[in-house]
Amino acid sequence: MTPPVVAAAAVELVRSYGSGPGAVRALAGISLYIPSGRFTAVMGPSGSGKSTLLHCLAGLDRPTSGQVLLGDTRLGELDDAALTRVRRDRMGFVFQDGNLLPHLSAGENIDLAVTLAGRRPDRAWRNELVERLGIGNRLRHLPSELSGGQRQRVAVARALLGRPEIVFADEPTGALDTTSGRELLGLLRACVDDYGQTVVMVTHDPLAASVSDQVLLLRDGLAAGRLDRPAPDAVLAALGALTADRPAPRTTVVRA
Amino acid sequence: MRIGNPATRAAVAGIRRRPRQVLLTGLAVLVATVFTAGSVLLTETLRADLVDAGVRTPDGASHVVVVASSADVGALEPQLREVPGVTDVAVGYRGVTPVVGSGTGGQWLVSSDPMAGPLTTLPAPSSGAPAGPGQVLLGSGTAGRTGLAVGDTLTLGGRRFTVAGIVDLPQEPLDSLVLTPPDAASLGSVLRPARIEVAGDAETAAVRAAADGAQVRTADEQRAAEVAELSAGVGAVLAALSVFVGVALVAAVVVVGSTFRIVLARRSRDLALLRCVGASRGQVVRSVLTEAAVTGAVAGTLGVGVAVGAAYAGLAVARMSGVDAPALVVPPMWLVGCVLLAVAATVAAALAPARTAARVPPVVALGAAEATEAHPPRARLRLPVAAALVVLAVLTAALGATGTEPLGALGLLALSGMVLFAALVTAGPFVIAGAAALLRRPAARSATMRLAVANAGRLSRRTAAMTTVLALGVGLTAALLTGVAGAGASARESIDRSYPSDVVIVASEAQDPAERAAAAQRLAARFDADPLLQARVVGTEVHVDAAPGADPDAARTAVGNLSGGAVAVVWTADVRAETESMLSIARLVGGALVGATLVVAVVGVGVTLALSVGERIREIALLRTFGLTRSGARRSVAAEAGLAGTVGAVLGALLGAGYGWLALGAMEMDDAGGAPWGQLLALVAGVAVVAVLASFAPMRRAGRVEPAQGVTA
Repeated sequence: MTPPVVAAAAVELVRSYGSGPGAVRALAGISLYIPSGRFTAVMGPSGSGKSTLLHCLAGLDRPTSGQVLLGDTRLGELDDAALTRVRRDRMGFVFQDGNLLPHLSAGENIDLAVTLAGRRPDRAWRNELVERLGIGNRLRHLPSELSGGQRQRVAVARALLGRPEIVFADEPTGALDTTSGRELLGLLRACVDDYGQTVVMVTHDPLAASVSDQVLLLRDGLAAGRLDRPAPDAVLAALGALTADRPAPRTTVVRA
Repeated sequence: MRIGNPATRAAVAGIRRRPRQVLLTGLAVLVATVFTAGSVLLTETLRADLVDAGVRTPDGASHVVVVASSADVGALEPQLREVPGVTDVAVGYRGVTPVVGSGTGGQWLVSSDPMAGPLTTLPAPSSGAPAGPGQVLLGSGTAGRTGLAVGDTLTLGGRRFTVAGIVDLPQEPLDSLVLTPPDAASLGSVLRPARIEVAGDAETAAVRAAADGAQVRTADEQRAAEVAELSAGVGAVLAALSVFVGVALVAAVVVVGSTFRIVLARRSRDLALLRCVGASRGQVVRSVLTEAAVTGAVAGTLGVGVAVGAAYAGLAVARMSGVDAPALVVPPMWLVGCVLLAVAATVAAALAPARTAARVPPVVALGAAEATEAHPPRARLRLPVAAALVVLAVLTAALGATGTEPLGALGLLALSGMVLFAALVTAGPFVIAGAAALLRRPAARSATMRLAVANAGRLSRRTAAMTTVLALGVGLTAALLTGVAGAGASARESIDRSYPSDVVIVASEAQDPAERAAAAQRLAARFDADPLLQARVVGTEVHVDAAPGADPDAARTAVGNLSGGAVAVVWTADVRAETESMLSIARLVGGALVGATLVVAVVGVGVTLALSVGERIREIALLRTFGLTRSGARRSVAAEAGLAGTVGAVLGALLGAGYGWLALGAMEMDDAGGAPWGQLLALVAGVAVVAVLASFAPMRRAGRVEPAQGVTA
């Protein structure tokens, strides 16, 4: 396998909240990279800093120190307007739930980022996406008229429509039942396989993480290991090791 | 509808799906627009009616000669008759003078009319016949008020006249009668000749030559001048009204601004999502402003509709109850202007909240933070500004209070009041936080009161908005009450000083004081001869009282019969009654003017609490699980309304009374005794009660919250 191109990277990232003795360091100088065209899962126990890491990578939060790179753009050097443009044109987002605007139809929600940029959506690509995601007949419905799984698929379509360099997903299956969750993960996986999309997903669900190409493990704001193409059991074991305060496994588990 | 960016479209779609919310947000603007449009309708209808009734130049006139004094008339009239082409000439007399007859008295409007020919302006009498020599026509309204009928007699300028008929006059601001020009001339200085109307087809130059330098206008010019003069009066009314319209709009802007803040805070997750997926701050701001424009347009259109409907209904009711109400004039461009004003006011109100909303961190979309009033008001920014404004207000007030020119001083005081209001708006959240801190201890005994105080203090910005607007409305009302009370006291005092007797009579207009005094002496002797009357001469005036035990009506008739030749006969009781009626009119009109602001303020309390309760459903539910009763939930809302109402009303009453007192001083009426404390107290209590009543709907909603909603909502 050729070494992957880097889609995004964090360099000695520190994010602390508050100051003085009561300060909390959510990220304690973490460095990592997100390979392009791969599905990366970020995992770790509560408070390990995985959400903060995602926020910093996505330019939603500014690190206290360190650098975030998207391609060769240094996010830390951008002002709010430029950062907004980067989010709009080069990133896609899928969140837990309730991330559709309630008064716009599913179709309008899909077009949101593209039309905010003042562009027209690419018709053929849009049609392919909604067909692939199975929401072609739901486009005129309001989010409140869709099931949770359908809402998340609308969010995935929105994230992919602008052909972003990277898609950030924050617990995308968190509010779904098992079946819908599995379907959604399959679709995300397919996006990576079929379109070469880069996806970064924060999750606490080992089953969700097991569809990824690699799992980054976090503990106390620092990188605590990495699993390539993990099986659910391996993820579980690695997580267990983290929470039990044992050294993280260095083994590479290759899925059958 | 595909307008603007998706953020804007989302906002507009939101409006379509929740029209009730738009109404709630725009309610204050709606009320203010009803007032704006109502003022426009009133003045335009008034203008049409006045012009309609007030243009006095008859259709048959060709020219009008404006004369300055009675001396000119005698010479001019025959000269004008000689001008070739002139077919008729009539002198128009007009004056306000006392008229006495069968128990009536007081100042009448007396005018002359040729009764026939091209220069008469009168319709045929509705009863009786046109007046001849020694006869008068009564206005129909006057006949109704006084009970005088055809054949009754009146005394006017010492002469007796018989009522020949009743006629419809275009306007009867006072009791009115019309007599022939020769009779009017015979009354001497009682009536003034204002103009000579000329009929026929004479050349203007010829008329001008015959007029001996007096001003000559063609009838058309004269009518245009009359319209302009009447419209100028209406313009002044509109200008005065627009001040109060402006104040009501300012109040509405503060209320709507606060409402937008609450609504946007509730939507902060949606806005954060927009920011997250790439909406710029500008796009979010524009979406909010578009929403505001739509809200303003809806509220403005409804407000104009309500105003037009109410005006139609009001005039119809007036007509049904027999009042001669004019036809409503609906000026379309003016009303469009009212809607545009509503749009502008709403957009202006939404400006600051929109900028705040656009600053929501995108992370909020991920559920990272939940906030209603995200940032506490910034003391470092607000307090110095407020302090500067207070200083400015005090300086302006001091300048006004020491000023010598009353109108300028009043303007300065009004300016100072507005600046102080701005200071109150700026520092409001801290005033409220302070008041809440003060009340925390006394409120500690009751859980509901403690809740109300805590909520008011925590959401100090919105509580401050409703309180300051209430203070503005109450302040205006208090200033009005104080001003009217002071002006009334001062007027009464001056009446007591100038009219020490029942009647004050000026006997003569002669230049020579000695001659005037002699005339007064002769008149006094005549009165004293009557056993019903006691007269004495004070300077050049005759002061007459009814003799002890004499019947007042008989005395009045006796004065009327004996005062022939007197220049002016003034009854103290009439002056007093007129002053009192003017004061009550001032109170009523002023009340209507500042009432709009008060209504906007009360609407603000209702809307703010409705939105706050909607936002606090989970919290109330949680408290219900811990054992807060239904009535407890309701009471805490009522207590919050009462708290805001009382703080606003007390603040407003004190400031308003202060400014009213300063205004009296500026008009040199400062010796009038004391503020109307009773009225002010009633005002404060009334406003506090109305504020609680305005919270009725949110109170019910709070009471209906089920404990389970705390978990699932």
